[in-house]
Amino acid sequence: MNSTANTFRTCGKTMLMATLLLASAPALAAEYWLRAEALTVTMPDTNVVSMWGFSQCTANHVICAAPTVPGPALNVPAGDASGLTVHLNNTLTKPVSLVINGQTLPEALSPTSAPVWTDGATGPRTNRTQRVRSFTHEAAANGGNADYNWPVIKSGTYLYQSGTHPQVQVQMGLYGALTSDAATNQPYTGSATYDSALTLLFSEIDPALHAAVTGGTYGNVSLGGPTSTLDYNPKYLLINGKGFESGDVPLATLTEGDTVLLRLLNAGLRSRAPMISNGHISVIAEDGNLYPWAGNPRQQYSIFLPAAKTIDALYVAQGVAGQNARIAIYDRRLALTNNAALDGGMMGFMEVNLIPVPVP
Amino acid sequence: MKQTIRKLAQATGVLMALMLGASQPAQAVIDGITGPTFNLKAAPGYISTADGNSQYVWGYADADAATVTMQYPGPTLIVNQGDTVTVNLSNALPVPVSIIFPGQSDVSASTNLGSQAGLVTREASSAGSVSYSFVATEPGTYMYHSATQQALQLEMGLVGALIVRPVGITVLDPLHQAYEHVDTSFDYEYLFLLSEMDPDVHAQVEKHSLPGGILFQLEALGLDRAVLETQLEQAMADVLTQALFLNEPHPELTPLQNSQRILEQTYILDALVHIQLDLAGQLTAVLTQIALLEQQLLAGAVVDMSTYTPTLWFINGRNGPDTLLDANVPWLPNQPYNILPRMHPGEKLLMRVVSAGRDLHPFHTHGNNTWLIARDGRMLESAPGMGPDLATSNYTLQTVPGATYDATFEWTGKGLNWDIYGHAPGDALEPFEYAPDHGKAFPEISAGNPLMLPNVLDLAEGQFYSGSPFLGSQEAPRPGQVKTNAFGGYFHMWHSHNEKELTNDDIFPGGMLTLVIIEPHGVTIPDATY
Repeated sequence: MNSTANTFRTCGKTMLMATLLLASAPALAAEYWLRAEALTVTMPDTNVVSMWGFSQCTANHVICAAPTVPGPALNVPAGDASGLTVHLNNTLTKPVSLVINGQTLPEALSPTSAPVWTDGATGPRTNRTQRVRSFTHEAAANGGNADYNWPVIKSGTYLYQSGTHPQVQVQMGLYGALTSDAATNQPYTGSATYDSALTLLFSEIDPALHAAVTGGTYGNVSLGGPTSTLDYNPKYLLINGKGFESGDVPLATLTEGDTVLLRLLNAGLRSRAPMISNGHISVIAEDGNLYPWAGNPRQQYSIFLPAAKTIDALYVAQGVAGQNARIAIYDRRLALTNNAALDGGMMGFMEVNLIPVPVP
Repeated sequence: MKQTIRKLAQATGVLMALMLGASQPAQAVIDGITGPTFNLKAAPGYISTADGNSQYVWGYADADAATVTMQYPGPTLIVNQGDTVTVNLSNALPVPVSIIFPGQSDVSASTNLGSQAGLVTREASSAGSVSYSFVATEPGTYMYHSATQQALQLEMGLVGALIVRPVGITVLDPLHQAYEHVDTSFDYEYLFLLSEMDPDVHAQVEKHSLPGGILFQLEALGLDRAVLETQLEQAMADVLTQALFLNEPHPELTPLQNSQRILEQTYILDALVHIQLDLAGQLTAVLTQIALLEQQLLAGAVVDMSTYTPTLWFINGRNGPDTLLDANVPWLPNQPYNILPRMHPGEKLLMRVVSAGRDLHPFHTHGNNTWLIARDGRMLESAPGMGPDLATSNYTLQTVPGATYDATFEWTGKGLNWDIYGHAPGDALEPFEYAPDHGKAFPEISAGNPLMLPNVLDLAEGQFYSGSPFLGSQEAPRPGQVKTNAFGGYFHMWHSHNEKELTNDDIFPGGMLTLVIIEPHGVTIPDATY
């Protein structure tokens, strides 16, 4: 009994919050356990880059999968009114937190928990040396936990990311996509429906910056590290965590006539311009907001995707000149290299197969 | 004073019209080539930049021209809606090249010998060719560019504009209407193809390319292919001459003298053959080096495009102020297009903006806002048939790489709150004059405090100031002032508002910069010729 009591006390606030949440709401349909941890990723030029990523875990973080960049895709089912809860466990040596651009900022139960200042304090700013470290409450370094709850999730496509020291933590890899449809296969109320959905999350890696962060020299001039991200210089340009290499599997295999919902997100720090090599895309929403005149959406072949932007667009798969087609979708800002190697970077293909004509 | 100025303006206007022999203003159309079958050739060449430098570039040339000349940007292709457009591309570059047509559908590509599969579309192999074909189903402003190693080839200059003129019963005049709705009609159209370059990239590619670059590299290695080839030719000739000499009969010599002669001449021949073999060996080494450098270029290993810093910015392939020169000036043979928009008050100017580079350029129009009526070849309309009812008014147009825009610009003087012609209230109205301002003098700063100009010694005038504030009027320039204003028009700067883009390699003014001239009525604005 003693151990149980101790466990209850040390888990303290987290347990209390969880209990309160469980008591106050019906069973949550969208509940995730995520862990922030360090990982290494091998780039197409065999360079190994250290990153931070989220991994998806079973309840109470008992078993965790390997961390990924981008992090696990979070989904709130269509029509689910019970919102989203994320339990975040942090094995990194720095505090982290979770925000979702376009959804309301989650507060812990204590109303003065945000922001968290650089000295770890919360509440009103009492000292000029305090600067914002986190937009919301944190999961402490080296094993800390924090719960984040959004009672109502607005439908659409959103980017979740660390809300702590974002200029470093986001580009280290702490980001992923959240999606929630308004109804089955319909991203927004009043929008068209889709046959399949494809998430294209654009991001970047500056290997020198990553090395400085994980090597402990970031922010420390005496150790020869950069003092800020001012000289940010991304060398690896990614779609869904991967720079393009010939021989990659296509992003999607479609049948002629399929309507694909392209969920475009930019977790990098620079503007991107996704472009399609054939025909037009209907751009229907931006930052989780459906554009007006949904009956006649704007048709574009090049789409502006600045940092942290999300865009929803519909593409009707077509063959090319009566043949099966390989449609390229890529960054027209020409981040098309893997480090110095050309024909890489932010590029991918959708394969479109014609509907076979039955032979009489 | 005002009466005199106005009369002067009228007289000048009429005089100008008489001089130019037109009774009504002509209407400018965009320079380009009409097809709908085009023969283009991808070739290397050089362009002149306004910092006095030149850059090695790759561009498309019109292969049907009398003299085939690579140009930057590539020729503007102008077709009609519904045309079957065929583009035959031949390749004079040391690497494969291709073309894609963003916004078009069902572009078929040939599979002939000399073409090859590419990453995004079929390509012309080096010294090969490929053909593309599609139906231009929708009118509008589009672009075409290489789809091969795009990060490099777009920087090198392989891009051009494509204009599809509308066809249909709602099209009153296809040369003066952009889309199938009368609200997209215009008086003048101008192309604004926006791009940038990083000279370091071009220098690196030049070093690895024939004809100038590889030689440069080899010179650095102490090897000169041309000199070697000349020397080898000479050595081979020498050997031949010597061999012939050796084998000449000399009946005047005794057999012993002859065998001595043969021995000596054989030594000489031997030495000459050694020289020849040596030179041949050097030349082989040089050719191997050239092949290696070409191979590197082919493999795209020549230049790191993950980091680049442009220092040159262009409209229609020229840096400011070369943008203001005429089209087809002989000293810019590879940059035929210019951009100097001109119009009269009350007219409508269409900007066909092609964002051909990889950076965004906030394009800023002094003088008035523009109405953005179409994007990526599609009108901004709430429902099909409504016309551009969703047009937006901007004074800065955000141009996203790869996108194309159509925007209209109008100007009457409305909103200035004074009579731009310097009329007295009883004078007749000019065409399209904003009537509420007719006869108004300059607004007073405050009651009883008329507008006062500074002392003439404290005043400087801009180069484009006519000397008079009134449209169509001129005053003699003050001593020492340069005046470049032929008809007393109003000049407004149109430019990228990313101010560093107004430089040529750090020298201001320059870059992505031009001027629109609001000319007084009666001044003829000439057609482009093509």
